[in-house]
Amino acid sequence: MRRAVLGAVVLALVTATSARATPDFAGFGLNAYEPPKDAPAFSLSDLEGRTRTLADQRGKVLLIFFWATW
Amino acid sequence: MPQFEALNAQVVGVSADAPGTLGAFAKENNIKKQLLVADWPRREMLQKYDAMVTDEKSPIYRYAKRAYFVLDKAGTVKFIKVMDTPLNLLSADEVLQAVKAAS
Repeated sequence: MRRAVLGAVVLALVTATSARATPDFAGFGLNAYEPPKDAPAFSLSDLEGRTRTLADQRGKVLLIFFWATW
Repeated sequence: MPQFEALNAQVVGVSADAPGTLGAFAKENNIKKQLLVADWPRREMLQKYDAMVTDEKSPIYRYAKRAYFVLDKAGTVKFIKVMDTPLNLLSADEVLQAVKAAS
């Protein structure tokens, strides 16, 4: 019985902690990406012909948007 | 754009257009921010990010979907949104909120 109660308490604590750790993104147009995943590496040229890599951007939050002149 | 800079966030646009087309577009619209060419003509990055139109019947076959990825400082994907059609856009505020949450 004690084990069952203890288990329930631990489960409740874990659930509560997880809920706090995940902000409410419902209002966002973007979807939270779960589970978090490392972004695929890239190495691309900019318009001046310089090479830009994902590694260059480390240390900053990065917004990548894909688009075209369509 | 200043709002993103205030958050110390980097904004990168990746296009599957030919370099010449993209350059002309940037010049015509006076765009000086980071625009990258998606490894023309292979477009591997689009495939890696699942951001390429693969429907052969689509008029924009092998072009980029309109898609947004927000990465945290460690390069982990935190938010993603791939639009059903390139005509749809997220608002700057929505994107900004995601960038703030990833900061």
